[in-house]
Amino acid sequence: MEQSSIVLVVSSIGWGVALLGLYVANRQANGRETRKEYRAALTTLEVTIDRLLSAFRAYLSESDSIKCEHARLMVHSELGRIRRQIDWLEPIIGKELERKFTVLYEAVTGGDFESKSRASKKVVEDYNKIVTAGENVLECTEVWFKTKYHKPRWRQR
Amino acid sequence: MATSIIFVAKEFSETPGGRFRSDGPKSGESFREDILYPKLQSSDRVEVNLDDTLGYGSSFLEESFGGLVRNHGMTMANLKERLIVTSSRKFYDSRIWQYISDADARARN
Repeated sequence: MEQSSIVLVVSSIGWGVALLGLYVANRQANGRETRKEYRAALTTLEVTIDRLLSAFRAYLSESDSIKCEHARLMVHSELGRIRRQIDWLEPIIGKELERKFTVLYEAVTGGDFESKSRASKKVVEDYNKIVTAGENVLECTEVWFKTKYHKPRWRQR
Repeated sequence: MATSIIFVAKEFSETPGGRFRSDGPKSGESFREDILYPKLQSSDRVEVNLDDTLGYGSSFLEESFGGLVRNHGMTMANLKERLIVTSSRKFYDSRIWQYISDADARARN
C-alpha cells in the first residue's frame, strides 16, 4: 500500500472516531438536559399540589364568605395548573398518572365541595383523602423518574 | 332542528360550581334545568363548549350531565347521538362521559 493511501486511511479513522465522540457527547448532553427538564417538571408538580392543599385548607377553614369564595377559586386555579402539568407528563409517564390525577380531582371537587351542607365532621376525612391522592400522584411520577434515571449500572451490581 | 351551541362561560358562568341550586346560583342543577335540558328539547344536537371558565368541579359536572339520565330519563346511547362536548381541556370531556355512563348503568339496575 502506498504511503499516501495509509495516511488517508489513518486520517479517515481519526475523523470517524472524532465524529463518533462528538455524537456520543452530544447525545449525553441532550440526555442530561432532558433529565433536568423532567426533574424540574416533577418539582413544579409537587409545589403546585402543595399549593392546592393549602388552598383547600383555606376553603375548609375560612368562615368569611368572601375569603371562602376566594379560596374556592384558588382550588380551581391550582387544579387547572396541575391538570395542565399532567397533560404534559402523561404521554411520557403513562396513563396511570392520569388515573391518579382523576382520583385527586374527584377527592378535591367531589363530596361536599361547593356544597352549602358541608359537614364539619367530614373536613378532616376529606382533607386526608386529598393528601393521600396528592401523594399518590407524586409517587407515580417519582417511581417513573427513578425507573428511568436511577437504573442500577452493571458495575454497581 | 339543528345543532345548538352552549358556551358555558358566556351563557352561564365563568366560575360555575356546586351541585344543587341550594349550593349557589351557578350550580350543576341550574345549568341542566335552565340551559342544557331546554336546549336538548328544542334541538337535534347540542354542543356544549366548556372553555374560558376557571374550572369545573366533579359535583357540578356530574349533576349537569349525569343528571340528564337520572332526572330526565335520557340514555347514554341517546346522548352519544345528540350531545357534543368540546373543550381544550380533554380531561373534562372524559369525566363527563364517565358520569353519564355511570348514571346510565345505575338507571338500568
